[in-house]
Amino acid sequence: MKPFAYIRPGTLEDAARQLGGRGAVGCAGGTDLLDRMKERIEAPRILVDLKGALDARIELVDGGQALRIGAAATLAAVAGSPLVLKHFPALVRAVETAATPQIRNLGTIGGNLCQRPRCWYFRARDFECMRRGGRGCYAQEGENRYHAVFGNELCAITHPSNAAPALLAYDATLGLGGAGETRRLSIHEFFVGCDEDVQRENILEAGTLVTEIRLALPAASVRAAYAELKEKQSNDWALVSVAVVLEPGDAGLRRAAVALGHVAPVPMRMPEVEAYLEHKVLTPEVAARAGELATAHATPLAQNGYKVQLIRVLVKRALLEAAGR
Amino acid sequence: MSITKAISFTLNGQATRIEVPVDMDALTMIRDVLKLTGTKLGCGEGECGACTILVDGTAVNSCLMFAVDCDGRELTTIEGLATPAGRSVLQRAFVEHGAVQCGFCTPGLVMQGTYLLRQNPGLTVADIRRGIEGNLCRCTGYQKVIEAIAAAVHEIEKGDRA
Repeated sequence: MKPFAYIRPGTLEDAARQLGGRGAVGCAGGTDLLDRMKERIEAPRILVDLKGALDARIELVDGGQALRIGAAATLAAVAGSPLVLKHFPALVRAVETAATPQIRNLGTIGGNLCQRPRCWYFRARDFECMRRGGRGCYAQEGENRYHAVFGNELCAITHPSNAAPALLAYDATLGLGGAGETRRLSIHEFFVGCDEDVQRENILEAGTLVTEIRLALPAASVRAAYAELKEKQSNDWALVSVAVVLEPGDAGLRRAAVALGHVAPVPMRMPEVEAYLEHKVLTPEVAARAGELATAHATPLAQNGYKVQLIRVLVKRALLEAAGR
Repeated sequence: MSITKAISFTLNGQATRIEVPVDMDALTMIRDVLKLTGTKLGCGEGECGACTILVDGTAVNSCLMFAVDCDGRELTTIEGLATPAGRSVLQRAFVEHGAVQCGFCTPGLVMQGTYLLRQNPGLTVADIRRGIEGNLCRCTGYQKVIEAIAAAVHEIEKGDRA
């Protein structure tokens, strides 16, 4: 590992300023960053420890209308929070199965959104991976059974976050700190696909950081579910994950949010599926049709066609689970 | 800006002051600098749990933590579990239930088990199974480890401390 300067700023303003420095990289839990440094695919000149600048509080805000999660809250804290469980059960389900108990005790919710992909070509220094500034995508013709089935033409990473699909389905808002004031950004505008920029997964510029997550409390009638499939039932990355949030109406669903994780370079909302579900009564047939629609535009690679079937099944299961059927 | 940093923390109850390179992980500091070699290096990337220690009472992978992050905190390693009265209830249970074969994963499993027992002394077998999913063992098949932790739950119910 190359030596670097270590700084621990005590305020958000200072942290943002330090993150604007050349070669500066932010670190909260550090589980992903330290791993990348050991793999020698990341060599910061300045490591900015964010724990002195960020908070880890989980609290109701806006007169009890919203939940705020400080970006430094660990995955274990989010998974164990009665407040999160009461209002956002799909977020608890999403983070409580991520990684291992020890990693959930270190890794933060902010870091979970900002972690880099687990593609083995990206993680291996010997490959001149496009996402690291190299020449191409080795997954296209290589070992691609865990890779993307959507938006994979240039680069076939899957976004590794478990929290992201749940936060997308709940329409979360992120707080972004930078020079000047903290600004709010819808999570729908946070992630960056390969067509926009193949070397990044989100819009964070040098000198900005995620400070908090805000979630408007849903009506009591809203139902949600999170489902994922893994090869191993513990200590593994999801092959496919689905988060759904259903708002019941007088006749059928007033609104449905469906988000997929681990199937594309970005976590995705599925507008066509959502439009189909509006005003429908959620029968097993409707849920199965929603699963079919979710895969209509899939472009699987040589080894990951099975993921298309997993998506169909998992969308159906998550919808029926949320509907209590 | 420097590439080493002076930090201080409590290690197994003892105040410790040390200058560490900023690129060192906590595991290397514990094993190579402080010479406490009970904590093991397995994978070095958070998969195997052999390096599990308690930081402020919370079980973490010391291989995924920067040494400088130990500043101001309370660390417990496997060497810190026994008291003058003898081995901890879970250490005794591991011995009594044959939960040790080659022994390489044992310090990590005992630390994770200790954490689980302190979090929830009424642990069920299902809780134990989920709770040790970040610790790999290639010898025991986990069954005896689970039995040992379950036996410790029983001892704690009778009045022992985790």
